[in-house]
Amino acid sequence: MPTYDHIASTYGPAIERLARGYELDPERRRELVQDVHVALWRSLGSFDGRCSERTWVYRVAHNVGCSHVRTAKRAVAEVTLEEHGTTASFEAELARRQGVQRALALVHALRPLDRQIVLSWLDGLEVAEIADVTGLSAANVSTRLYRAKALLRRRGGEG
Amino acid sequence: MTDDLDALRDAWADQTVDGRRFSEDELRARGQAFERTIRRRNLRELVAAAFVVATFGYAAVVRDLPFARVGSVLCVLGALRVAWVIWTRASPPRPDGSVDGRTWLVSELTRQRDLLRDVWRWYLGPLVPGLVVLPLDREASDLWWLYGIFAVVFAGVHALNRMAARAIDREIGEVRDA
Repeated sequence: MPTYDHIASTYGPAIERLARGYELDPERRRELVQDVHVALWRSLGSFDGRCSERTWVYRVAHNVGCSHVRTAKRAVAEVTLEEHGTTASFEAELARRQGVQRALALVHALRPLDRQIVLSWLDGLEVAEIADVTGLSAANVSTRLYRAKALLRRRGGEG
Repeated sequence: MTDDLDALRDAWADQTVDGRRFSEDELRARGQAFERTIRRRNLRELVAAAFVVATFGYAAVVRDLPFARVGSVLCVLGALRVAWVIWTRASPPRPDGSVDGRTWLVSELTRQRDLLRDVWRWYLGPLVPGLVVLPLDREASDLWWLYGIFAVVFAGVHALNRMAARAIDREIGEVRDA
């Protein structure tokens, strides 16, 4: 069974990056990060190895983030990946961070499962692992990722 | 084409992070703070129920009209029932990694939907017997508008909650079909 120290040192940076996909306010994001750590610390005892350690951590992080967004209830109109191409717009602001900011703008307007897929992909997870984290089929994840990448490319070209 | 997305992923991974780690004391304190928030929310509702119990309990003692007394007792029992449900209401489940994203989302939405949908049963319903009996000492001509007001208020609360529950139900359907 992994220890909390191992989880925190290995996945701490990933948790902070994922938190940016759920909360833009820095203070609330710090609390969200801490909530994810609390959830991981509390749930480690039930980790039974049926999924990989990374899948476990990402599931907890996304589930806490998902609950955070619902609790915050800030009225951001969420759309599916199909809808996003016709309604959202991204503004390029910083030279090196333009891509990340556009990606975050896309992510923050997505519905929960699409958000999990895009965030996980951005963080380097492959399709099979994203399917494991989200509970969707690999084919479903691939299709959604394809749409997300097309949106990101299109917005990157406009920026 | 692929290079710009690879660059995006690199930029994503290169974001500056605090790298903060938490001591077990900090984690425990944060977890307890969350539970205190839940308890405070419940306490507010229990205080409201206690107010109802005190008000109608007093009325049950001092009123000399029979239906007013019986109605007051029924209101007290109704408020106690609501307080009991609030007191024993389970805390929200804690996320853990054994549950994938879709399953977690469906379970959270279902829990929220059921709370809204069952408002009639656990929050409004227990108060109805007392409110029906309470005014029966009055003239019959007074009753219709009193019951009318009760019915409108209760129906309104019920309708709003059912509407919210239906919206969540649609969301559950979308997630299940995802």
